[in-house]
Amino acid sequence: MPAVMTVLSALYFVYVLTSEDTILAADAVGGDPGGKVLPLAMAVFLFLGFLCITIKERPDGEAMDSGTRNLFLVTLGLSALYVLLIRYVGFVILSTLLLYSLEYIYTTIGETRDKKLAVLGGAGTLGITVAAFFVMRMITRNLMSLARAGVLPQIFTVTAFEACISLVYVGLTALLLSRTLCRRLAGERTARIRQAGLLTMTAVLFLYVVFKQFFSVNLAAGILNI
Amino acid sequence: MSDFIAGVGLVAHVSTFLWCGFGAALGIILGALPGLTATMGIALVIPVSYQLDTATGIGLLLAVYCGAVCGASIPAILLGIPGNPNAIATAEDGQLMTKKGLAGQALGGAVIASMIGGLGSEIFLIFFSPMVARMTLAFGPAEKCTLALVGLVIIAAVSGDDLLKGLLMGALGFVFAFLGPDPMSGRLRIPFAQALGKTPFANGLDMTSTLIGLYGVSQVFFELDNFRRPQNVEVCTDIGKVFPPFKKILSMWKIILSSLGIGTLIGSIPGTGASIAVFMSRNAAAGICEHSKGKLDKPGTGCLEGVFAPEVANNAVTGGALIPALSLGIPGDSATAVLIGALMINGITPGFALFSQNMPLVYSIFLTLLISNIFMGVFQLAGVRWYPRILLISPKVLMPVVLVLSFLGPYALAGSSVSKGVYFLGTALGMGILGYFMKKNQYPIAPVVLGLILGEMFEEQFRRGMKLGGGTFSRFYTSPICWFFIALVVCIVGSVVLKNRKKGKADA
Amino acid sequence: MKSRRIAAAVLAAALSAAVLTGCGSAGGSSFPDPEKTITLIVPQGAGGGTDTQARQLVEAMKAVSGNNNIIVENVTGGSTGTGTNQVIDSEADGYTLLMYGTYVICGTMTGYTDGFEKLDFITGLSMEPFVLAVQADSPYQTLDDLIQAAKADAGTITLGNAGATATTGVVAYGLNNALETPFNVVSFNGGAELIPAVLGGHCVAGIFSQSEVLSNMDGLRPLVFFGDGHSVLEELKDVPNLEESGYGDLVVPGGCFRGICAPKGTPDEVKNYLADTLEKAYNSDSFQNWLKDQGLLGDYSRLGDFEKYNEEMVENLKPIIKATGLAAGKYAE
Repeated sequence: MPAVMTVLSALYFVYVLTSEDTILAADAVGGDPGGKVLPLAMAVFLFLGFLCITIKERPDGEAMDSGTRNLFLVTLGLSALYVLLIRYVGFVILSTLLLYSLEYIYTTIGETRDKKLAVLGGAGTLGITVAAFFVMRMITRNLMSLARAGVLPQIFTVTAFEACISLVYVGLTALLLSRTLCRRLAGERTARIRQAGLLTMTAVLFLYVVFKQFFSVNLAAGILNI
Repeated sequence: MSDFIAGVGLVAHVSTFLWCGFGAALGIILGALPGLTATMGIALVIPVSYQLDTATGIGLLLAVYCGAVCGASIPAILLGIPGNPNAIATAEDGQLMTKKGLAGQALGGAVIASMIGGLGSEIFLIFFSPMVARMTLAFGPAEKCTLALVGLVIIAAVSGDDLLKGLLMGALGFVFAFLGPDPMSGRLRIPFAQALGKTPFANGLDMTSTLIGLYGVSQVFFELDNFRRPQNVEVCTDIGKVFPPFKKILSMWKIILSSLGIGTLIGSIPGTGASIAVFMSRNAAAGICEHSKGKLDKPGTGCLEGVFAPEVANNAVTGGALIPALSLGIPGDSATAVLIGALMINGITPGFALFSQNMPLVYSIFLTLLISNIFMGVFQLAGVRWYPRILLISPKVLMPVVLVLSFLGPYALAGSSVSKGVYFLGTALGMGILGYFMKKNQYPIAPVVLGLILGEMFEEQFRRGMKLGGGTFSRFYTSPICWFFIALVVCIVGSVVLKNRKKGKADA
Repeated sequence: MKSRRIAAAVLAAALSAAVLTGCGSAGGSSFPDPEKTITLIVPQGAGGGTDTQARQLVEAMKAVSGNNNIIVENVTGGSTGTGTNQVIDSEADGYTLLMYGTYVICGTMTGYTDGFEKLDFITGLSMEPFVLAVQADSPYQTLDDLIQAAKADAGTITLGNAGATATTGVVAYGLNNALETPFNVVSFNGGAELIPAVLGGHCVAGIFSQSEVLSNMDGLRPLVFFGDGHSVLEELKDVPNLEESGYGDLVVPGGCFRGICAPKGTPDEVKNYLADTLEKAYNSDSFQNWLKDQGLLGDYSRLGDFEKYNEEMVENLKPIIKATGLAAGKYAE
């Protein structure tokens, strides 16, 4: 790392040196040292410092073992995909996929994985999450428009109240699923998948409610634009 | 006196108490969630505060502010990830205490410290606000620039064993800050300006996404190493006693007073904020402990002192930051900047006029701050037994959730712009990988973050100081405050170098 | 056997989700959708004059329209260019609005944003005059004192502004260039930084918004009023204007105009709805009283009128900005 940083700081030095000065043209009186002085000073300091460490320190070769490297690369790859795709696919679907994959992969380290079953579980989790999400949006949407039309009391137009309803809904759905579907699928082979799937659905919907409905944070809607 | 009674009258409604309680609870949750800052919390409840009476609305905002500052210590202690920058300095000792099985005492201590800080600084706010307001005016650009330097050097000195590594990481943080536009002319300095000039990167690296990346995302990658190792981690279900021994707290009176003073003073200097105060107070505490003849433990060893000092200071900043905010209309930190906006919406123009014409309202603000601090303490203490349940969850299960949360934070901050959110996410991921390699190679992370936070202020004030001096350093060398700060930097660096020498000889 | 049952359950769930989703996207809606948030983007920091006015306006809009789903978002940076660009780049559906101001015109001419060329004009609101002030203990009693002192020893008197390409920056540089650069013009990061610098004696004089001077009357001495005529505020009505100070031939922007804009291409019915709501909000008692308290001059115009008014402002500012040397692109020619 120090060697890489030495090279990078040298590059930064060259970059700053060759870039145009950013001083204000209208500043006739002067006295402003300009926007390059401090970056240059820092580049020199970084270069010398890291050079010093590179020379002094012997690289201690604690390389990652292959299994951990695979984990690292998988996590990195999935994260990168998440970042790149979120604006097209949307928060709910992508988070579900990311969370489920990582939960499954991490919790089954050192165990034999049934790939077909895992993929099926992933698709199921996605389907159930999207369905639950859809129903939730339908409920709050309709309650709100009914309240606006005067059928329901005015409190139903308050977004925080709607969010509370959603929160209760998420809790009930998770409970219901753990009592019904998860019981029916009980078994040694599906244990990890069940846990990962249930956790994923609850977490994704919970986060959606907290951030989007309570605090009006704009989560990428993507293809699930409802 | 009649003003005070009128002020009490403004506050004495059930709704004021309810909203303050709600705000405190909300603040604690926001503070505990990585990526949601006190600033954002305040901004989020402003719409609610409009609907309320002026005093009640301000009470709600203050409660969220206090709660978010205090709540940030929960993940810092239990997971080693600060909820927001206020708890950067709490993370080390808090995490060490958790590993020692003293999580309960650390959490309880943090709450008590926060209450002491909040209430203590309020006394300062009430009695000294005119005086401190005058003092802060003595801080011009040159003084602020040197103050930023002091803040950075302190962090470089206190985090990690190697001063050089600390300073280098601080410089790296500065460089990250310098990627933003020229602070004086606004010209772009980002590489490949043709391509990146129209993207959010034109403003440099986003501070909070970087923070989330360095602390949150990097933690996920770092934990991967442990997944494949045989795990015999004993999770302490019993967090132990929640209340630290009363005697212990009393024995720390010097630390409490110094942290309180530092927090209030730093908080009241515009543009500084808690990130500097927490490290300064932690450093001051280390000095006090050294001279305590072994009665006190040194911060960094996983002791209550290391949690108390920054936690007193960060809540002391809340009171301190309100001093210039109320008396001059100048925010002490980003959270109070939003608060001032909210005050003005509620029909209050901060400044001398507020103090000379509307004292009842000033008293009502003081009172709601008091109520908020009490609610904050009560709620967080009441919940202490629940928080450690997070630890019962295996990191294998928890880490994916942390990752998704870390990706949510930057998104939440980007507001209405989707493309900005994607760029912030990219920043968080990139910084996460950088943070992973830093952790692997034993480089401290805090100086990078502080360098990024202070870099802009440092450069801006340096340039402005030079400009005011007509291109010379005259503004710097004619200011006694600057000399004091520079002397402080020399002392800190000197003492750390000396100590390392001694240690080196002892090892050899 | 079991795995087949799992597969069936999964498939059923996935299918039903797909069907439900397909149904959900149907149904048109009129503006504004109650579940969608209208965001008014303020390209300046929270707590400043622009931000305060935006928040006051949004409150009035909520009150007159009954729609509570309107928020203010501060997007700072790039001398207000960042926030402006964000609005320009967002969808032209009326859900993203810009707190427009003289600063956008300055930002456009100095090359930070495409600014007013890529915006639709909804409502013009108000004008806030600028005031030049010094510290209350300073020896300078009039603008002439200050200028003479600056001319006697060029570069020693510092003149602060809220940012190089902010409107006050244009005023400061314009003033300095017209007087053959006697001042050392120093840019600060917004009024919040400038006020304590002048109060603390770090900077001799500063160009402020009127409301900033108003809230610090004890520490500041206003020397000249840049607007037309005199201030409508009791506290500032005796401050002489440029002509009375003997510098009537100086041409600088006299204040900051503010209004509301939307991205170019916003549908007409949406614009009309917004303009109607804003007209009601502008005329509401709370907003009018607030304008009066702050000493802001109401300067209402809507849609086409606003656009014409803006064109006039642009024409007036062109020579001023060119003279400061800040202009970029076609405005520098």
